[in-house]
Amino acid sequence: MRSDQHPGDDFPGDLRPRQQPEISFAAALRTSVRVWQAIVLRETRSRFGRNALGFLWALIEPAIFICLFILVRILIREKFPAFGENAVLFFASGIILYRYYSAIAGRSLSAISANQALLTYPIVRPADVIIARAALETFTMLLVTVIFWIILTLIEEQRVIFHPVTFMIAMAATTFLAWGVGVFNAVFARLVPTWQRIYPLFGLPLLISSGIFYLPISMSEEIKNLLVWNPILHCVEWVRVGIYLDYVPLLDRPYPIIFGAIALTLGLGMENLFRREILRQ
Amino acid sequence: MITFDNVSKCYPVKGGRRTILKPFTGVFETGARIGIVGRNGAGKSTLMRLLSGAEKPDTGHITRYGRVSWPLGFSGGLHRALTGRENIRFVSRIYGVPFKEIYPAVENFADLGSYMDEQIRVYSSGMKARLAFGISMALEFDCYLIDEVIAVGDAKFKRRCAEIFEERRKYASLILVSHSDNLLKRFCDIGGVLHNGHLQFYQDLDETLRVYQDIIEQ
Repeated sequence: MRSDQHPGDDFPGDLRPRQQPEISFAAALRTSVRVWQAIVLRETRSRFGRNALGFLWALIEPAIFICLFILVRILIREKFPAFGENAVLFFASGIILYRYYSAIAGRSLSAISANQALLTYPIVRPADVIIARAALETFTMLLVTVIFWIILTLIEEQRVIFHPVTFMIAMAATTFLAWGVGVFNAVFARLVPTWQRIYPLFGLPLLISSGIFYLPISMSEEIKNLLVWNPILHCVEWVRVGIYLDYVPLLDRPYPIIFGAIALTLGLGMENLFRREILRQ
Repeated sequence: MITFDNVSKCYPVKGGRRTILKPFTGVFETGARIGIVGRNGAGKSTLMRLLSGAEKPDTGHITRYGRVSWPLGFSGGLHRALTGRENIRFVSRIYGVPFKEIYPAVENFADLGSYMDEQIRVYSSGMKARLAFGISMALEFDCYLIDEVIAVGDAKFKRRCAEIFEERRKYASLILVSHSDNLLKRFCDIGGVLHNGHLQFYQDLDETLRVYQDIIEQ
């Protein structure tokens, strides 16, 4: 944890000079938690504005997506075979997961630059502002996910999630991937600011190749060979294995986890190596 | 008190490495009021970040006895999109001090009136300096690190800063980086010159400024 931390940080307001600079793990963790709380509260402001409308928008955005896809589906019926009896469930499962991933990884892009001034305080490390932003986004999107699945459960006549444990594991894997890419994005975008413009360009290709509007396993070999490079596709497929009773996925479980681990390692490595550049105001 | 044990620091620049500090062992005493001088780019701000703990040394070890402030500088720790009050709340949270305990002292020192509830982006540099100072004074650190910023204040602000440091000189140290001889003479008793990676202390501020003058004229 914080080895180079101020001794006595745990005794605020105490004026006596403290002679023993000993930092226990527990004290360091308490400081970290305090810092995370403070940044999350600050972030809530900029994420949702100063009223409740902000959170409502987080709900409306994926809802619009789903409605659009249903519309497209109605217009070009039978062109893209979806799985199961209900196309809405098939689309929704994909698009909600995709939004969950892209919200966390995407908002992390400006995690450091939006909080640059706060890095003046030595007890606020670059990692803290990334953790705080990713945590707030994860919490927000989990709430959005839960609300959508409740709605889906209510409008569907049959059971919507057949293997809850698999579903949870798939969500956890997606979270890990999103955090890994998010940490990479936050650090890399601080070092190379144009990354903030380049990364969003991947949005559309990723959306199309994540198997949201079609059944990935039914695609031709050439297309499948391209799709498997997209880690989000594997997450979407993993979630569907959890939803359907007998889904045949295009899925390599370790791939999104390894992808996330590599992104995380690169991000943390750069954060360490270029600490000076990151701190520069 | 802050002790440096064999601390060195350099960082890469275009076409090589710049040495900020060659292995240095020394003590920044409790209650000392030290003025640090050095040419632009000598690494004074990096030295401040080392003292504060924001940056880690390449070699050696820094030990802080007591609470050390963040380096108070022009850019400051104030978030532009937050109001003055929200910034105070943020700092009180990260340092774990109840907001109510420090707010009256900050308000009194910063003297911002209704600007307290405006975003920092509309503040003048003098107002930002007063607020940042007010917050750090209210937190009652054992050692204050100040990077030039006193210079942006008006006469009244400088007088109040001088009063506070006079009041606290028994238990709070001050390490001040400045290019202003007047400011250094007013706030500091001893001096240090940072030049070519060497940090040399002098027990007398006039001597410090003389040595520094020679360096500039070289």
